[in-house]
Amino acid sequence: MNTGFWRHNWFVALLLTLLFILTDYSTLLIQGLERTAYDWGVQASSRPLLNNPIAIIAIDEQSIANLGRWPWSRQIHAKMIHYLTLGKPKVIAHTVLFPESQIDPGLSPLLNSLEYLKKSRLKKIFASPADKNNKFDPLLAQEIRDLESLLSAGVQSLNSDQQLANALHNAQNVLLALSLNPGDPRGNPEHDLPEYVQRFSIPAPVMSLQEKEMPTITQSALPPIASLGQEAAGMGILNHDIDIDGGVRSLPLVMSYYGAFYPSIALITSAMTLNLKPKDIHFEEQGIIRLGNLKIRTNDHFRMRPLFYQNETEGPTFTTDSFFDVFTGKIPATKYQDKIVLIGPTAMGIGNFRPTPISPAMATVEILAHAITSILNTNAFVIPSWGYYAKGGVYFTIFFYIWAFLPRLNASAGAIWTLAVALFLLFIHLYLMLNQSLWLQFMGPLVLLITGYFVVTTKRFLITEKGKLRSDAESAESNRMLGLAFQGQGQLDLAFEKFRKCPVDTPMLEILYNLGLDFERRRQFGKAAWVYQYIHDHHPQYRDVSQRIKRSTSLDNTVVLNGGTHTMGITELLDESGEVQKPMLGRYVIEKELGKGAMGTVYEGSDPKIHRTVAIKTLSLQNEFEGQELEEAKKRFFREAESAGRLNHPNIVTIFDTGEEQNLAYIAMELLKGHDLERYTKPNHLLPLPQLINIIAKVALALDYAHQNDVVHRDIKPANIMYEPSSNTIKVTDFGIARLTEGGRTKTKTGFIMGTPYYMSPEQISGKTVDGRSDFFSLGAMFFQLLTGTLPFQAKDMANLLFQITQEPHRKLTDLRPDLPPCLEDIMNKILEKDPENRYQKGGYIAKALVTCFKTLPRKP
Amino acid sequence: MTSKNRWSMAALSDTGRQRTKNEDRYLCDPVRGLAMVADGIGGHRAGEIASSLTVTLLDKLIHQNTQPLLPEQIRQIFIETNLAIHQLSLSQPQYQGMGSAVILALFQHQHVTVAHVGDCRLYRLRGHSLECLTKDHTLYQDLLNQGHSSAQAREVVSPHTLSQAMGSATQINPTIDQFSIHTEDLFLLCSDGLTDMLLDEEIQTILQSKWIYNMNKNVQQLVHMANHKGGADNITAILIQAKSNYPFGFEWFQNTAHCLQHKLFFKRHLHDKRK
Repeated sequence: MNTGFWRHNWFVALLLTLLFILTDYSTLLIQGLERTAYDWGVQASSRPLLNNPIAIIAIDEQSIANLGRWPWSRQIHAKMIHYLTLGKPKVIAHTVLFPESQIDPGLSPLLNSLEYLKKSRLKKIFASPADKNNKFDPLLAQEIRDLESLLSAGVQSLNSDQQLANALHNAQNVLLALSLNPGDPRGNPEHDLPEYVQRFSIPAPVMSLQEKEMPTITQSALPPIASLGQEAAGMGILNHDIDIDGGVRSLPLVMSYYGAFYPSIALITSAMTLNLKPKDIHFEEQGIIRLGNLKIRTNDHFRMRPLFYQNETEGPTFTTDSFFDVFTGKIPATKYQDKIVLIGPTAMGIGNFRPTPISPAMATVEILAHAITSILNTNAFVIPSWGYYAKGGVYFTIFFYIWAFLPRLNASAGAIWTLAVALFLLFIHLYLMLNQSLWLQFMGPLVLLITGYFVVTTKRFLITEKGKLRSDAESAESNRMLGLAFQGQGQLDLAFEKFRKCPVDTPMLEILYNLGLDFERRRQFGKAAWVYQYIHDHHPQYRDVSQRIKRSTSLDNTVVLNGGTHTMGITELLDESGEVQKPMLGRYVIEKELGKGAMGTVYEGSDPKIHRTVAIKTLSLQNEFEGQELEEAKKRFFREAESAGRLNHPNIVTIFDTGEEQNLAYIAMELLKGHDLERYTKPNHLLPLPQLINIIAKVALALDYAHQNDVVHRDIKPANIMYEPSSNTIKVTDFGIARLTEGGRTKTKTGFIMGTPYYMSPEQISGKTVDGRSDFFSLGAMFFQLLTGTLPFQAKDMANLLFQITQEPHRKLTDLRPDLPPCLEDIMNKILEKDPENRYQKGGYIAKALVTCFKTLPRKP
Repeated sequence: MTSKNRWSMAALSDTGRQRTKNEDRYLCDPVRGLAMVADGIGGHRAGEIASSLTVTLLDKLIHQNTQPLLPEQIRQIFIETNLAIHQLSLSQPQYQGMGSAVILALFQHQHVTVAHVGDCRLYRLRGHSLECLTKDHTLYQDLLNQGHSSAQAREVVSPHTLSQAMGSATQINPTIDQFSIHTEDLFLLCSDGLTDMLLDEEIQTILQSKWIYNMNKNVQQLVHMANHKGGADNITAILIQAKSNYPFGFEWFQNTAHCLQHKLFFKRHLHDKRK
């Protein structure tokens, strides 16, 4: 009922925007989109590498197959490093963690044997071959020494940790991986990190950092074992951030462990490449990490979003060789001269694979390679510190767009503008990522924009739809009314044109049906058939429409056929079979229309069985009443018709039959010749007095007879008295019918329009009970008019007329016609008494008085 | 945003408690300052046909005429409409005897032109006095006009009997008047379904009630009250006021007026269909 605030554009826009911002910050829906958009950006920015300094030695399936089950003996790693060292690589970063010692089960007994030998007297005896007191065979001494060195060699070869440590020591440029476990420490660490790890920590930032700017805090560590750690040239954290979708898009460059800061392996590898030490790594403002002259831009918590590179050609981005191929010397070590060599597992089962923006599964070592390249080329992506404000601003702009701009555009302009803005946002997003390495999260606003467009469009559609329905209904009503107006003016074609624009509902069917009847009445059967067909198309069962189509169509054809014969005076309409086609009502054949009465049409009909010609008066009761009232009206009608039918009097029209067909009640009665008395009411057409007295006396007697049979006429007026001068026949018609109309109207309507109450009695006007004496008053009024040519009451308007009839005396008869005998004046005064008690009580008395008076008239010679 | 509508209108029509269908029709168009209420008379569907025809044809003819309309033009429009309806009732037996009371108020600049036939009324609330500006075309009122006492008149005729209505006769004599408008004036157009149920004092109380700044509530209250007191006939009421008096939400009223109009229109349609 009210146009609520929720229908306003500002509300819709605000609600949507708030909903989106809330979704953006609290759920993953929009973040997922943002990540996808980020991945597009990364893919688009991804560029080929020139002079790539990174080589990956992949511990792949082939290596595992040939070198045995994982984890391998560290001897193999040691050998590899020895081999690589020959090629003089710039730096070797080993991504395999060595957190525990590798002890061969054979080492212990071998060590024991060696210890035993060393402590034994044998050893002491043959310790110094140069001893002069040595009485033993020098060869034996040599054998013991050989045994000792053999045992030592056995111990050496089984102590793989030591071998690897030696290799690291020998190489001097091997970086090892350290694993730190993020989490807020609750107290102090179990153990401080050993000295060999701490030496690789980087200097604490000189400025104070906000919580958000602090490196990721860790709570536990997994360092390599001491023997290896002491020989490592550097150590870095092998961690990366995993997004909610499992993908890796960023990695921490620095992490903090109980106040100390450790670089990631990517960062330390880059530093080593640039011949820098961990102490050369510095924190700067706005999340920048300075590495020599390199400024690496990071996001919150010093996390870097690396660029991912692609090779121009198919295949891996970085030089990747199988560990086995290098191990067996198939690939010369010189290939790795001055290269950054990354060793790590890529075989299924041992490698750690993660999706990245450019690949659905990438091994850790490959991610590391991309990260190092990003650092060295300072290619990292950054969400600028003002990024969130920018996002808010864009949200607001879109809100404004949905609120104020979009609703003012038409549908196509709205679509074009929205598309343009969406493309612009996408363009900005990609432009910033490609050219500025900036990531602004515009996907939320973009989706808001598109959703806003659809909501506004839907809303508009619904409103216009409603408006359309509304105006449709309005224009249908308007068309219906204009059509009716045309129909009233007889412009049936125009009317049908208007009606066809209206929806065909029940009232419309009725209107159309009536239009069809109108066409029929005009003998435009083709058009009538057309209208009936139209009804039939919408409602095949409507009344007798199918029959009417058939009939009208055949009649239409007949008219065409008889076009030439029409002049020969043949007026009947013949159908194709040559039979006379006439409408039936009950058992009567309708011959022609005689006229229209108060409630229906009067036809001339004939009863084919007894060849009697009748007048058929129809009453469309359903136009006047409905429902319960219609039933009552019908009952009343048949009761009245029955009582009127019982009347058998020479001056009362004989009623033959009553019936009902298709809601059309009818009375079949004697077909009267002659005409009614209407024409004798004009002053210069008055009937001669004797003739008139004769007529009035006969009517009075007829009324007397009817009253004795308890039938009151109620509507005595000149139009209801039929007169045939040749046979001097008088017939009173329409007994009791007036009551139907009257009763109906007063009962159903509070307001009604008065007919012409010139002949009404005072008691009829004031709505009191009416009996036969009321008819006498009406008879008197009619008599007065037939005598003088004017009515007994003359008023300027109807209200006044009614007032006069009920309250004021009628005009004096002799004033108007002084030639009349005084006895006639007396009779008139008595008939027109206001109080029925003072009138003649019987029709017979009136007739008698008239006859008596007539006798006093001077006879003309 | 300046609106070209100077008039706030609120309208409501209701079937009432005793009738099965609404034969009242109305039109309110704040843009043209045009308001109409028609109350149809006649059996079966003829009543609503008459009122609907009246509103449609008057609306169409007013639309075709150049503004501002002179009283004489309005008279011609009434006569033309009456003839069209009367012709239909003559040519179609099912519409015989139909007619419609109608009141038309055209708000132009500083005055309102009122034309009516039958017993729909125009009231004006100015300050603390409610005044009926129209005289019904009923036999009863005609007798009063001729100086008869109301007791005398009541004895002779029923107060509901119309002396003229649109479409009931070839001749018609609409009463046309012009009244000046004060800014605080509140106008009420209504069918007899409202005025038969409510005393003038009751109408005044509702119009002056605390909802004074919400015409829609007022109009709802009027209809509700009439229903409460019996709702013997269809009830239709339109409230009109110069807009400057309403301190907020101009568009709102206007929208609501339209909304109400159409909602009812549909309800009515549905109702008829169900039958």
